[in-house]
Amino acid sequence: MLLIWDGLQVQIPRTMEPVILDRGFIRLVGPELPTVELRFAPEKRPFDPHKDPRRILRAAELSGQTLDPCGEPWAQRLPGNLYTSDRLSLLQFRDSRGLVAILFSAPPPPNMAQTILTSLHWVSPRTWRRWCCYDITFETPPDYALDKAVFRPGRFHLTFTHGPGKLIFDRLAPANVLLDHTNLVAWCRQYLGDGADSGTTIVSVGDTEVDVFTKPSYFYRTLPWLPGLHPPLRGKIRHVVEGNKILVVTEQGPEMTAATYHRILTSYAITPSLQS
Amino acid sequence: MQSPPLSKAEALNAVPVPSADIRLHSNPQGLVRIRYPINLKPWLARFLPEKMSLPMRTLELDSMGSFVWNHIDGKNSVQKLAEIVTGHYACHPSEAEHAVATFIRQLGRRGILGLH
Repeated sequence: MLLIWDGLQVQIPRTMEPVILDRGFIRLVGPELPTVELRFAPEKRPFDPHKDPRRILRAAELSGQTLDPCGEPWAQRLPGNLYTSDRLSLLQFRDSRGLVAILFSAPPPPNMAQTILTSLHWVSPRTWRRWCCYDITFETPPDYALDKAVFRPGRFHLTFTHGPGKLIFDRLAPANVLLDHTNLVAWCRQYLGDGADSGTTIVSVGDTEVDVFTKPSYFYRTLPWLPGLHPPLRGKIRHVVEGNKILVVTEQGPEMTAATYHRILTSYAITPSLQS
Repeated sequence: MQSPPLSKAEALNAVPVPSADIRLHSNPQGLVRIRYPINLKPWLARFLPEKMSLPMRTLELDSMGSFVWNHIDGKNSVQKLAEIVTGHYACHPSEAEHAVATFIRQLGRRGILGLH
């Protein structure tokens, strides 16, 4: 399974699954395999292979070990320099200036470490980023940072922020149970609750798509910095019939350009391998 | 004394079995209604006369709960139920596992079913 999370792309070994997905952090577990923790971030200053490994090993409670350049032939094809110890690997991406530390709970089988390490790819937060987790995929514009990620059975909820702007992705399932023979517009009114009555416009775009927007109030237009005022909202709610899901994208705050908004909407999808 | 918690693999291989004390009904929409005796705390149960039957409560399942309940036959394991849910609702497998496990746990707490 391919996981793309917060700029990092990683191929998850077949029997493993992600159990924690957070800002710059992934934890993978699987039966009879060591737990894998990946911590990653953009380089704040150039990585010093003489000084920094000691600090990183200490943080990983592996003070007695050393991080040495990896001499394996497959490591030559990696997009950066790889340093390894018994349980910790560190990859410094050459072009995208990112660092990823991979900590195994026990020395990993060689093919497991190789599968994970050769699949790594890093994209800086300064560019468009693709996300791919569980059965959803989408793109976020440059500089949007992950604020909250909740994965519950039936509801995935991811919030991104950039200044006063907020971008929210929801994935609700199973759609046939949620809709329960009502149409999408009626369900949207119920889903949006009280907000739907006070200035929220719901426009049906075919049987499976609904556009939602609220206009900014007079006070917000004149004094947008005043606390307690609701920023304008626009979004799209889509019923993916073949995947039995409802996908919701909402944008709050200063309006994005049409091209950016369109790219976000078109990128949000159910991953094809999991469609029924 | 409490039994040790099950590992994930053990929990997924366990087979849920409905309790003999429950009564099942279906409402006109086909949703399952379960009447079950209240699970009293042991210290409270001691004060009740032996021949007194416990008061009953009714639990109405939603369509997804009813679907899972209809597949609990004393043979299907939690893993198998999760696979059936994955296939029927096009859920992510781990999402179905969590949902089914939570559902079984909630019914187990009410004494509606046990695990074999």
